Amino acid sequence: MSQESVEPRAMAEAAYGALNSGDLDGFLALIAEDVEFTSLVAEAEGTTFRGHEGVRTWWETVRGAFQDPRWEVLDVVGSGERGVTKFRIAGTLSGVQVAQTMWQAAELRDGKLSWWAFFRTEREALEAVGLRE
Amino acid sequence: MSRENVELVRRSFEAFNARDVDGLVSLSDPDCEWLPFRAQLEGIVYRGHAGIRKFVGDMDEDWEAFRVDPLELHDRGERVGVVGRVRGLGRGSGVDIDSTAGFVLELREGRITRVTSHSDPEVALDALRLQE
Repeated sequence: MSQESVEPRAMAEAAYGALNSGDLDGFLALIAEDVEFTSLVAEAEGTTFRGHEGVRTWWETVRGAFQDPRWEVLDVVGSGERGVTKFRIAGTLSGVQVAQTMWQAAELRDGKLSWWAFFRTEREALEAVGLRE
Repeated sequence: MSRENVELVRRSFEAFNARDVDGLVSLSDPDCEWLPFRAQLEGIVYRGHAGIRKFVGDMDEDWEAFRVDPLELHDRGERVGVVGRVRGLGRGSGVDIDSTAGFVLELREGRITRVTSHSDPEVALDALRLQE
């Protein structure tokens, strides 16, 4: 598969696969150097993470949050350069099994993730990338 | 006790929405654990009465307004599931959220011992069923 032919579903599976295996270098390889993204971790503050350094900061936060974190891709919609992934993150926190379902809207450029944002609802995610009719 | 627990849970949401921290503390066990949504993503657990005070303080620091209004309360004895409407306005971002979420509250001897938030209400209800 050439970089230009990477579709949202393949990208989601690769990215969440890297998260699951703790492969930061593999994760970064999927992401444009000038990526910008937001996270529900910093939702209220409106923080925008930028570049691979921003990815590293975010990675350390979310990978370190749970014991045994697992990401599961539940659904992907979109094609070409825009997509929305519904996913679940599950893990153990303070001995309690917790799981959160979220939606990630993403844009691809030249086969790499160039922008993404996480949302609490599918509607918001679809609107963010113009996929909601 | 079960119906009393449901009423206690309802009062806890009222106290939170009113930022009646003393009221919230009075409904909670001294060894309680709070696992709210964002804190889970950061690996944070708010513990004890001091934790509740810190949680409310953190919320007010981050959000200009934030409230949860229970839409459904599911009585499971010492566990109560809540489906609630969550509305918030981010202080720094101006982000405006309006969504539903699920909560599982565990109780012992008339006090809340643990609160776990779930972005998907169905997951909260599933958690209730699994623990039955």
